[in-house]
Amino acid sequence: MTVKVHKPKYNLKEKLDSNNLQTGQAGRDTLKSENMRELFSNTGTSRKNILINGGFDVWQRATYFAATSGYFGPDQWFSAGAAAGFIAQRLASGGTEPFASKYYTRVQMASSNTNINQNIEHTGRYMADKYVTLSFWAKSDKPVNWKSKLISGTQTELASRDSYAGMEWTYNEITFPPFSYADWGNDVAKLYFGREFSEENARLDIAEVQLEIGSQATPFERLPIYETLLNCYRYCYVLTDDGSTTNFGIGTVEGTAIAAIGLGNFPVQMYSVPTVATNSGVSFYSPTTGSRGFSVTSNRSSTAQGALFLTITSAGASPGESCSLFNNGSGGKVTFEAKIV
Amino acid sequence: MTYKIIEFNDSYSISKNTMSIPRDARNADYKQFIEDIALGNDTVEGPDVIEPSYVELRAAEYPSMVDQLDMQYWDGVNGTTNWADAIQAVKDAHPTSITGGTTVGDVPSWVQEEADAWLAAKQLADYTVAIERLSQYVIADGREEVVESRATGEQVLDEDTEEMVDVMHDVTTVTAIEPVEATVTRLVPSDNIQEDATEETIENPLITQDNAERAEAQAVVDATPQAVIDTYNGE
Repeated sequence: MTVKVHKPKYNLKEKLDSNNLQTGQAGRDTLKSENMRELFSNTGTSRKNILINGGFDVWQRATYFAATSGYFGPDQWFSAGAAAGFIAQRLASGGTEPFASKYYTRVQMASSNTNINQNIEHTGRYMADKYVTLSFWAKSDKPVNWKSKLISGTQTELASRDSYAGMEWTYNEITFPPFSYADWGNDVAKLYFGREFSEENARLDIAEVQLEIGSQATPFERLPIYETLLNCYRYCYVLTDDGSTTNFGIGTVEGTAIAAIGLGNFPVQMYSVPTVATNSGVSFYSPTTGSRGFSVTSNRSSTAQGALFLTITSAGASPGESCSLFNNGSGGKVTFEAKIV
Repeated sequence: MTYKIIEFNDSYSISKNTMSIPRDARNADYKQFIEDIALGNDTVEGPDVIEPSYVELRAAEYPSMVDQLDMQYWDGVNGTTNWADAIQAVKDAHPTSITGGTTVGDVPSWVQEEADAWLAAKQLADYTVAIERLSQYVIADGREEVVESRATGEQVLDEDTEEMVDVMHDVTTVTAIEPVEATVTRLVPSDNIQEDATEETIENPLITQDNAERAEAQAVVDATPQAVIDTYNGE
């Protein structure tokens, strides 16, 4: 049997272009795209941002932070090796920026080796053997070079790339080569973002950070705020003072100085059993004792629920009576931390 | 601030500053606690041991109010002293010299056990990296070529033995690398602007860096306990 194969004698794209044929909006937009970024932009298609809170929408802990190390303002982003004078803060876009996000982050570097990082859960299987592309907008108060690195779960530097931040907003796109599952080390990897030069101090404004599978950057994925919040809640969940009479949790007095308090179910299961911290804006209340101070005796939380045993300052509560933890009007916060390391 | 072990209802958590850290191996603060103890970066205090005073001890042993009233009624009817005897027995068992108080107990053994396990894992990882670094060639000495004779996959007839034999060829398995120059010369500008710069010969910085890295790796190897080396060797 003979099979004849007919090949078109003309280039379809050229033919459609030359005739300006109406192939539908999506088809026309696809054809006029010069690269993947334009294609995704023109067609409104997007892909998953591997990073959480790359748009700096969620700042549960604070919106202005001066720190030497550890976590700072924007959820999921933390500094490491920062020196005194390091500041990170949330700034609102003014409407003239070349991106659409409501906020961006300003990081004031006080010395060399200042950086921000994001640890990424469940990386290895998802990113193994694939190109990944980092994209972000950056601006500085002076022209400086910055480094972006992918770091494995065993703290091995897999790849490092220089990027540039001028005094105007600059779009940066960096593609990293594929790494095997073994290279990634385990299911937690790190994106490092910072500088390692001691010549000068500088600040860095960063917006719309996206890490995605593929060798080309696509437009920044704009998630609904509730989705970003839920993503962040897996690693940090803060009960705060939405009202002066907020009750953070209720419970039962179990001894004259001991009370058990339930703090509710978490919106999503947390990454680990969380560390719990309360500040001075949180007080204990029972009908017998009235408002009292307390200390946390035992953290009885699980990955799904917050629960504490408290020691009530000065005994005198009646076992069996109901009690609560409440915001005493001084910015009370109960913070559950299940950070990835 | 020192970590504090909290024991409550046979369950442990760790307290530091305003944090209450669960004993959960995935928790970042718990991992930091174990690391701090393993490396001696911080200290840990045992749980509070609360010794009850005579007041609490007696309160727990006095008969209930119902029983005491009952005892007093029958003592009045029968002319006995059961109620007074029972109360006195409790008082005698817990004299007022028992004032109670809070003392700090021993740190539970699991703290040191987990710190030791963490340290051993870290030493094994560091030892592995150090051995890998030392296995690299010394750049001051260069590297000699290694050539192996391997079968090409073809065979020819050996006329003497009348048997088919492999055709062999030489394969370079390790390429040679020339040693770097032992020294380099650099210009040192004079403090006096009118004088010319002078030449200075120093050790090649590449060799200096190689030597420093090798010395650092050797120090790690030397400091590694034998038990960790045995684990590395699969013993």
